[in-house]
Amino acid sequence: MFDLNEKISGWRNRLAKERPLEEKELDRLEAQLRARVAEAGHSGLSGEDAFQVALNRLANPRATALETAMTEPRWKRPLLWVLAGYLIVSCLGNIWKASIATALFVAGAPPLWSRIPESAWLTQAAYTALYALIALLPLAVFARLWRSRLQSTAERIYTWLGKAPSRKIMAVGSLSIAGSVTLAFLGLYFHSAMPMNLYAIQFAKSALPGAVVQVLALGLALSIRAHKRARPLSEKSAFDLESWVQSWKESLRGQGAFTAGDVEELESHLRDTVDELSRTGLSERESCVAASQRLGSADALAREFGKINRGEIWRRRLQWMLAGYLGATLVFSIGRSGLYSIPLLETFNIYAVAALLTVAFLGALTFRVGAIFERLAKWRQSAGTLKTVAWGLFILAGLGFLESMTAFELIAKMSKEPVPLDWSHFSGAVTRVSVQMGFLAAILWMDRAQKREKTARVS
Amino acid sequence: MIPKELVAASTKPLVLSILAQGESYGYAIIQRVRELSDGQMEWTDGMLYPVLHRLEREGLIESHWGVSEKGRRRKYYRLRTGGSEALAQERARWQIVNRTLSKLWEAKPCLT
Repeated sequence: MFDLNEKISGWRNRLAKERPLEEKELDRLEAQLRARVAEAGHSGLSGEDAFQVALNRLANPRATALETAMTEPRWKRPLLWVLAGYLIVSCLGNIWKASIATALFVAGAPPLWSRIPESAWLTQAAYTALYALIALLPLAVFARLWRSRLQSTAERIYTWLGKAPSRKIMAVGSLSIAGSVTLAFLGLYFHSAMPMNLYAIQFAKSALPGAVVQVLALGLALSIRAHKRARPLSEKSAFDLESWVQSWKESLRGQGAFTAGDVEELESHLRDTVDELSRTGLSERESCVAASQRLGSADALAREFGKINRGEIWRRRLQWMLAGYLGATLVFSIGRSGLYSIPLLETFNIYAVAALLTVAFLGALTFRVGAIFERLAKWRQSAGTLKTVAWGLFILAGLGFLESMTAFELIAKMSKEPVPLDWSHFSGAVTRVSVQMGFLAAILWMDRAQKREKTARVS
Repeated sequence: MIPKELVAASTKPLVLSILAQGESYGYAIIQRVRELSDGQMEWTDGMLYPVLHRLEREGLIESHWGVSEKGRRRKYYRLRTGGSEALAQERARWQIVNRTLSKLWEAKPCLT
């Protein structure tokens, strides 16, 4: 198990590789480390604890503490699932579209459809109701999945606002407001020069309200800042146990293999260990480093917990997939409304609604209204993997159905005049589906490869 | 020091036996094992929890959230009837291993 000499020689080799040190200097450092291990041993620490504490005392304490306790957030894997989410929805949408088109060509438009009066408002109302129904469920799920992550992000933003000098906030805020106003004026100028320029209208339309929102946001940021400053600062110390524990928990959450209960249980254990080690005369920082070492690295823990928390892992993936789809919808809707400048109320713009919903929803979450949605999704935290995957597919298929809404326009068109059989509709969808499937397969393969690499690194 | 594989194999009977003596929580279980083995059996602390959760899922133990002396939230575990039965089974198995090895080692003391 623990072999001090092996540990020290490993440390020495690492050091020699990282820094241009001479043998003599290495010897001196090693002697210092050994002295500190012995010293830690005297205060009742054993093996690994003593080594970690000694290392911590020898090196720059802050750097070592962070190095041993935290792991970098991994963006590659979530990013893959974000892409997968968009591809799956779009792929399912294409399949829907193709099957509806096929059914229409084979059986003809349903006779019922032609009786529906051709009222734009009625169709819009139907679209809206359907969208709300299908969108509400994923939103509820999404809210539940993202709550803890968004909460911590919001907390971080508030902390940053509390810490950042007002000058920085003022500079960023003024810059963005100035940018918006410039855009608006440019838009108005080009619009007067070329009345048909749609970009110009869009600039003018969106930039001015945007500037108002930015002024409000700046005011809010500054008021929070003032509020923070008014509060008495807690004792100023180089090491803050609470924030250390928070970032340690964050590094666990980032692994995506733990339920909220798991993290809380591990935190309780960590704090018990810190209390015990503090009694042996270690500083808070040293206790934290040694305690997190005893608990095991986030990587290793995630691997073990992942084996029993398959459902949690899939929920996390689903979360990224939904994020991918909603994010893509948002980007596309901004792009489209920029291109065509379709006013929301004249012609129903499903992308604009999707964008509004997404923005409103993310905004609401940041301010912790997510709990309301959470109550909508009442399935137990320990729902099995199968249930989670089934729900996930259902939600993604629902979103795909939304994507295929253009097929309904085809039905309406066909109910008025027969459209000749056109296989290009079908073959186009098939090509798109197969390309998307190919991308999906590549993503899943990359995810597997990363997993293998991670497992190899841990063991 | 006990090798990793042996520690892993003995985790289940150890946890069940400790819980058979009364309700406990992760940190205390690890302290107890450390004490009983004179520090010879070292776990990576965090690895105990997946084991506890698996035992809970198998219906051998049950858990509830309580509060520690310091007012922190803490998860306590206790044995269920199924757990007592599993413990009796584990005990019988380990006694077989123990008996077999003892017999071998007692029979030929001159070899060592």
